[in-house]
Amino acid sequence: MNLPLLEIESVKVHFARRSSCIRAVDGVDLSLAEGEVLGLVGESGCGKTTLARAVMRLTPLTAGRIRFEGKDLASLTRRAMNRFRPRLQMIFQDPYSSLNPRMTVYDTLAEPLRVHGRMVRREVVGRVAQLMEQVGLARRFARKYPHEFSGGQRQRIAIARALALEPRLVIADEPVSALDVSVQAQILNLLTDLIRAHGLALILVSHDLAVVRHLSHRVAVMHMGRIVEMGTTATLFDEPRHPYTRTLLEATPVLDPMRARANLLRNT
Amino acid sequence: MGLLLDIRNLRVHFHTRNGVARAVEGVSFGIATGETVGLVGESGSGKSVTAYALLRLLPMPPGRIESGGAHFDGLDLLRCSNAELRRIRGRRIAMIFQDPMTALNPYKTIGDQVSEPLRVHGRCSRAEAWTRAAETMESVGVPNASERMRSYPHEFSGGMRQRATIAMALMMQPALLLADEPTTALDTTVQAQLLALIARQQRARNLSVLLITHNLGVVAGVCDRVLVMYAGRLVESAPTVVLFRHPRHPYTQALMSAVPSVDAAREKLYAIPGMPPDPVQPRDGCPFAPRCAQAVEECNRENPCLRPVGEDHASACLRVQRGEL
Repeated sequence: MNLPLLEIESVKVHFARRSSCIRAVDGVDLSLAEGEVLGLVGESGCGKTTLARAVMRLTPLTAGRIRFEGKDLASLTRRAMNRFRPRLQMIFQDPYSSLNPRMTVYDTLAEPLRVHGRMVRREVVGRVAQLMEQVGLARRFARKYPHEFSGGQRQRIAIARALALEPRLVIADEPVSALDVSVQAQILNLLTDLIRAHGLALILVSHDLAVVRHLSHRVAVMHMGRIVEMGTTATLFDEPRHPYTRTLLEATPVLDPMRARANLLRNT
Repeated sequence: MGLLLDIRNLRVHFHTRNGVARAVEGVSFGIATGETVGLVGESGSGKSVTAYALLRLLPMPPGRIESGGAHFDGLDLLRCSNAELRRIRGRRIAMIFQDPMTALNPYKTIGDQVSEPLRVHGRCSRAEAWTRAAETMESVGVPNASERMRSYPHEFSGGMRQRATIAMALMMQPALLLADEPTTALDTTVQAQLLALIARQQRARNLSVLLITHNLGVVAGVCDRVLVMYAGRLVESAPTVVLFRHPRHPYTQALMSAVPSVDAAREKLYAIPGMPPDPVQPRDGCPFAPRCAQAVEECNRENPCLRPVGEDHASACLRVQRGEL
């Protein structure tokens, strides 16, 4: 058995407020293997985004340990962490705010290559073209700015940027929830293809159980800062054990009017 | 069942610097008393503009109602005087919106706002309006309603805020409720509760509801009938069960196979290629043709209207109408 790519041990992230303390993440244990897709589901405020940000070291831990490729991320100096950054990438929900409006697609994709990749200009040009092709963006778009693109195309740019440095782990925080249904399918298919092609590990943070079921090998359900149930996708969806998981499943809209009606009655 | 609202050939354009955006291009449908109708479409399809046009809530200019009628209570909502419309808006037809935080005034207590319709339209005392508002809040499931009337919107959760706007909408016992993406900003479990609430109120009051959403799963449980909109036009209309079992327009079919399901993982989702057309530069022929897997040569020339293709079932697909699909 291989060493896990990511190990999260008893992680807590608390935010101190004037009179109280918000326990956003309150003791989470998780591990993720190379090439594995883990769905992290829960409702707003359950701590799923905070946990994702903690793994990226965008939020300091209150307690616990996060090991990536065996290294304790919190113990790393800023400089040592910077060497790890290319291997850990993130895709955010809102492609309207996650891209720099003053940078062209080319600049957006070239920046990480220049900073981390130590590439010469010719190599950068080649790699940018390759990335654009991988995410299905025509090369003539390279000189355009984010505002000239639709939401789906922007999310493609964000994905290309996350892939630029060939990461081992990508964390996608609600990557399709801001998109229209027909575009959502395009992006989900793209993610599926890229995960397979690159053997990427992915943590998919989402409130949408259907999206998670579609993409994940394993699913963790978060509620009030803790993981209340975790299992392989098929087991968790077909035989949910925790009452909260069942509630979530029953609340998820289905395209079957009879079952939708039955679910509705259960809520009355 | 007589029609409560009858919309005929509604066309709404926006006259902008970049040209004329044809947001709604000839939409006709009716809503019967006590009927819940779902209007489904993606962003920019014109579904919200349709509802806003009914209550004349669109900014005009740049918006302009180019043609059409909307008959309600023997009045054409699109042509009646402002005074006549004021007697309908908020009283006979109420509306709830996607974002309950922006729909509520942050400076006023919930109670002030929920009781306001009664004070404005109802000619009753302040105290009486307050009591009736508290009762309505109770009936939409706000716990400790009479105490929470004194809270401000920021003290409510998203779901509770939306319950408050529903209470506000129901205060005048409207005949028709327009709900524009009422659950889109909410968590799944809260969404399920609110849909159940809308369905319960609908039955208890024999309300007619127009539920506007981009989410097919949302209409599946609550609506009697579903209308599918694309690029400013209705492309399909059918009773809910029929629409989900036998969709008869390639766009509806594509939408359904594009949605992932909680029931079983599908290998690959069907991704509709391309993007919706630019409303400023409409093309000849069916607006969905460039993205349609079933399109033939004629689809680029002819743009068919919604026509019956079965009992109570209409489709705007040329090939379906000719019996080829």
